[in-house]
Amino acid sequence: MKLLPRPKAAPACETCPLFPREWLLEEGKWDYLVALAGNPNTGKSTIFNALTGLRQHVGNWPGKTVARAEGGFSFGGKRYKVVDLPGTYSLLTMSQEEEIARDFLLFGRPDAVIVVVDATALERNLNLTLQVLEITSRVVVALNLMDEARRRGIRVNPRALSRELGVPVVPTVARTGKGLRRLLETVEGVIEGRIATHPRRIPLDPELEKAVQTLVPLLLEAFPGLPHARWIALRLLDGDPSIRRAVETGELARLVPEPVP
Amino acid sequence: MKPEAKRILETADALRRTLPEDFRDRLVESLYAEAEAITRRVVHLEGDPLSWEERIDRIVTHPLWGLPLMVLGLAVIFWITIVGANYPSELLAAVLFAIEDLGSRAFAALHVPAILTDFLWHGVYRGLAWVVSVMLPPMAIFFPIFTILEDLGYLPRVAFNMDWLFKKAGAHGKQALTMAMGFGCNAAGVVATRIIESPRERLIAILTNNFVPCNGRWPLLIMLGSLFFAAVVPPRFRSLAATGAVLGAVLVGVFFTFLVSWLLSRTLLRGEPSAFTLELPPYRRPNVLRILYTSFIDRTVKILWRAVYMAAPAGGLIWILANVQVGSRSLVQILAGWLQPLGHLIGLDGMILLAYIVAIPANEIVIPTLIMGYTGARTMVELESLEALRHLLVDQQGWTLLTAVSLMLFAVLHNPCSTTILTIWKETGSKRWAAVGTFLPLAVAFATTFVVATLWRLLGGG
Amino acid sequence: MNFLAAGALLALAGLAGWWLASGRQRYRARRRETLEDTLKFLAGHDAEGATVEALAGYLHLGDRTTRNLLDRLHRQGLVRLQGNRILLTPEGRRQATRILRAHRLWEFYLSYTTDLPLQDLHRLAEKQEHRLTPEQLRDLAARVGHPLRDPHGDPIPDEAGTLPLVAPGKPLTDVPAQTWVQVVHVEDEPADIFAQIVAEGIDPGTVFLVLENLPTGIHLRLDGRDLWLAPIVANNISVQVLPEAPPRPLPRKTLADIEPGTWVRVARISPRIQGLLRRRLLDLGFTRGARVKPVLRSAFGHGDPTAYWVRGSLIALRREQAREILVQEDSHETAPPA
Repeated sequence: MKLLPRPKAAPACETCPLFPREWLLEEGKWDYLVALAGNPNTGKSTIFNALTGLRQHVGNWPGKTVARAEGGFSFGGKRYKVVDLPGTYSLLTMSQEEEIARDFLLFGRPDAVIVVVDATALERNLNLTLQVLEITSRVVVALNLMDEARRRGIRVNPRALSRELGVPVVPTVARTGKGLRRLLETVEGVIEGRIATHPRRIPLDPELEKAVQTLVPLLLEAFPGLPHARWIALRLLDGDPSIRRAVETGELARLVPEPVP
Repeated sequence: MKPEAKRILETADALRRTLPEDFRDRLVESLYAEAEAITRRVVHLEGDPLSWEERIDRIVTHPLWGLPLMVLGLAVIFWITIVGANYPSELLAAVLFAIEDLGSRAFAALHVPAILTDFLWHGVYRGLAWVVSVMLPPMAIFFPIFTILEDLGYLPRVAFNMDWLFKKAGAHGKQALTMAMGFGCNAAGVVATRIIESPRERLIAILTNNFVPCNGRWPLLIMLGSLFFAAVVPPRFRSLAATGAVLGAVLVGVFFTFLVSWLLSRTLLRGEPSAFTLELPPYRRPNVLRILYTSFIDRTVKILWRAVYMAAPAGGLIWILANVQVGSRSLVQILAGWLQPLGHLIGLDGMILLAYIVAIPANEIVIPTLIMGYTGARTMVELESLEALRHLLVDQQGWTLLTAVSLMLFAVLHNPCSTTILTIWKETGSKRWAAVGTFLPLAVAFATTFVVATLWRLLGGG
Repeated sequence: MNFLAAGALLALAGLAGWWLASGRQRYRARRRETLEDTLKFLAGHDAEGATVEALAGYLHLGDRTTRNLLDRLHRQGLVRLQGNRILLTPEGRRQATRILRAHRLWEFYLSYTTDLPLQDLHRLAEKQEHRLTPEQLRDLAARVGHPLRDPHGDPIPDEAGTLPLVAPGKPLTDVPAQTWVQVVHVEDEPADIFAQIVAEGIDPGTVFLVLENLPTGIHLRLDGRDLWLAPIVANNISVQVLPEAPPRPLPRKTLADIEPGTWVRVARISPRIQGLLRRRLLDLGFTRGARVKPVLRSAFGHGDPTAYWVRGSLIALRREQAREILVQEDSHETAPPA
């Protein structure tokens, strides 16, 4: 009796297009696509529920046994589609959850990513945040569980954190809904370009940095204007099969933003 | 593939070979070094962030009272559910059966044929009314309490406490979390096994989840507890005795979970226990209002709805079986007659087995099926009082304490409902595992009840 | 009647055809397995080459069949002859490494997903190694976190066929007294000796000092512990002689040895933990230099699992994992850095 499906080389087209942004936006039903990322147990689902209320749909990610929650809300006259990514500690492994989160952040091309961070365990949460900052620059950090942190005598300075990360940081208490309005205003600002972000880059080991620097020009040559080439190079060095396939099939070209007419 | 793409991939492969062996480790190290540096600059600590939490954790994981505390907690939840559900259940039953009365009278006044009135009101509707009045109140109490425990962060501590046992059984400590979900609904419990990464241990958790009695099986356990165990103690201890009986049944289920897990990890799913990393999240103040709302919408209403659309057709089916006569006997009686020898062997009777066959889509309807089967729908009295039920089962049908014990065991151990079987199929992607998940518990149930009944009879009991 | 007979004949013919075809397929698969097994065997005797007799014995084949087999390999340019010795050509070696990679990766994959006993892994991998395509191998490696060693501690070659650790070891019994050595390989058969070696805490990567080498046994010092190994045990450990003593005493305390309430720093995760689990532990914060403190010990399991305070959160690990995380005493046992 087979214990689990044998690993099969995925057919090239399972990933083309990997996460169809156009399809998610349902032909103009939504204006913007927002992803929620974060560690498990950070109140990510609470924020998701608070934002979308009952306008949500729960299913599975295609071909995976990982729950996928989608929802929507309106803010400032715009309609936002929200995708709740699986809670993960990192984005570097091939566990189903991390693969989904990583590939969605890159290939789903969300207009903004809200990283929900647990203020009581900042260090562990920053591991993930720093990785997200490598994949996309349109990030807003929701510094959640501020009330718990205060109760425990942990004082986090959101301004300082924002300076360190190079992206806006909004303190929230998802349980009571505190800070959510400011969070949305900030997301809007980032999407519309009113708030500029300069995400912090992970400092790499010199040897790794050199390898990345060799690969990046090749990527930019083959895919001019490719954003996040550094991350893609890093993933290729790691041997990530979905990125490999995206290079092979030329799917990677979809990431290049179309020139504004 | 384009030549540029090929060049990129080849360069990447060549570069990887030049990197130090542990470059992946080093990447995470540099990430954490950065995170540590940032944290040092933006966080200020006032006092030890752990102290009071550690104190609670020392209590709930204490060598002496950690485990009793857990069982006691479970007992308290059951007790609150049983006592609290009693009154609303009766009220609901009164209202719903009054509607049945009104409805059938209205039909009669409109000259609807009697057979249609009978079928719709005394068959389909009655099954429905039973399910709603019996299930809704306990669910509305049980789920919110459970969700509060979940939100508090207590459940991971249970997994922590129990892991040593799971490890001995060759299973994963997180199975405790999926079992907790199973108390609500086994199908949900099966889906929850996704948190277990090792496929072998996940399969064990899937195949044994059914040994945790789900919400649909509670009413039967509570009813038997109240009828047979509570009846022998003074009135003021009745709810305690009922709680004890239900708790006992649940512990039997937990015992079998470990036993079968252990057997599986030595036979079909041979292997060593895998790695175990579990975060014990900090305790958090749950948002009670939100929990009441979401557990009502998410769980109670959803599960009730499922029960309703399963129960309605089953009610109709039972009515037909009870009312179609072949010769002098109804179909129900004939079928039950066939099953009688097997039923007797395991301390039950043919009608109970028939009820379980009819109830494969939803365990909730075992009781109404039984009652209709015994009484025949035409003559069925409204059995909202326990005394009437007791009279029917003990005095007319000859149930004994053995019947009650066997039935409680059977209820806890028998095959999962059809929704759960479908879920096992979907989650494992294999019909064979779904079959194992169905027939393994069934075999365990038959074997256990057979042994109990035989021993009981040998020792001169009922 | 005629129709029936014709139908029966047709069915028979179809059946015979199917049988022949599937038999042919089976034969081809078998032949490929034999060829690949030959390459593997030769790779194991790469330095001095192998004789036809030795190969025939290994494959359980007659001399003639073996010679035919070698002829075929020779025509494909995979082997060459030197006197009566058979050696691999560079291309032959490349293919042998690919099979080795498939074998060890599959063993790792099985150990990760099924937790089967080590002996079973080998048997299953012997079959599977012939069936995996390069594409599947690449996916498999990524899925299990690009492990460097198989569950026995042997290096897994990368796609290009290079081994991450190409240190030719020699048996521990051949090492003179008063030398520092590093273990490069532990033979996994026979199983009881392997279990004994593992129980002593010796695995690939372990460094220790050989104090005495006597016919009755090897006396060695491993992180402050003095050990005696019988020659039959020592013979199954391959080591590399180190030119000098390691710069500072290597940590040998593991997280499992630490009393609750004591802060320590992570020195490294043992190479025995590989792939996804290794990365999971790193992601949870058990990186080099991280400050860790055992907080809660499971009462019923006698400290298994134990919950550790690491980077602001509480993580429970079973003893098997805690034992693989090597730690050093933390000099300043105060509150964690703010």
